[in-house]
Amino acid sequence: MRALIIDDSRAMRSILSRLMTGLGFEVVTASNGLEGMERLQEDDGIGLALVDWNLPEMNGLEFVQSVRSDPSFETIRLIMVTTETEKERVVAALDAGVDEYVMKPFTEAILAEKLSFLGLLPKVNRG
Amino acid sequence: MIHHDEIIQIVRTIWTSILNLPIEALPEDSPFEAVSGRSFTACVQMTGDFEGATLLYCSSRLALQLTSIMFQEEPEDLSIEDLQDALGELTNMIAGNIKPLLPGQSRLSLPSVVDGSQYQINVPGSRQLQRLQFSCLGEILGITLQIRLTS
Repeated sequence: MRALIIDDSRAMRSILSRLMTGLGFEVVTASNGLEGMERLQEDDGIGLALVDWNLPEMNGLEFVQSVRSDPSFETIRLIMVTTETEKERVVAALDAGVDEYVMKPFTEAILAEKLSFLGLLPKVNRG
Repeated sequence: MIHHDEIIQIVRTIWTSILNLPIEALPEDSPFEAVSGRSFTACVQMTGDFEGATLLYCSSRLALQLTSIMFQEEPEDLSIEDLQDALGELTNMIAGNIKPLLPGQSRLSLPSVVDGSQYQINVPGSRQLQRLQFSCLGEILGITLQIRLTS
């Protein structure tokens, strides 16, 4: 599966790309929500998007609302990866249609667990 | 409002999770150690019920090492924009995790980063709420939390 990573920080895109590649995903990236929408429209192999909240041009929440309002993106899984850690923000993101919410900072294990929960990875052994 | 130890814990968690790197907080009463030579300062402003800013500063040597770890690239392959980006993101994560510990609802700005050898950063109309110093890879890293003074 191809994963779209949307973050305005190149450092964070680099970290997420490494982790996702290590977990077996192909990766494409975008630096804001608008660019993310363009990637989705031009690449129908994308099955998952990891999106930051605070982005220029189109923020992460607007990206989620835009994806969820388009039936052609119905099957795409969305994970918000953000420093917005307040409960109200998590609720707003879930209401808008994200499937999972990952708070920065995260570890590979946390990311793998969320992907596993969505059925995108083999079950993570919590040991 | 927010305790010194809570910020230390936030910074340690970020350093462990994102950089896989130890970081040691200097005692609260340590004298302020100015960074000599070229340095970087990253700032994320907070607006809303809490008005203020989180600032991170370090030497260019430490900035280069942290960026090299985040990008997994050799230091000589990194640009000044890479260093600014990496420090901005670290500061964004620190501010984002401080925010829920502050009263009410606030929003974060996108990070801004300056670098040079002789500059002073001021957040006008604010005072220092917390100032912390850390030791990382043999260099000093400083973090301050500023709060806007109410008129």
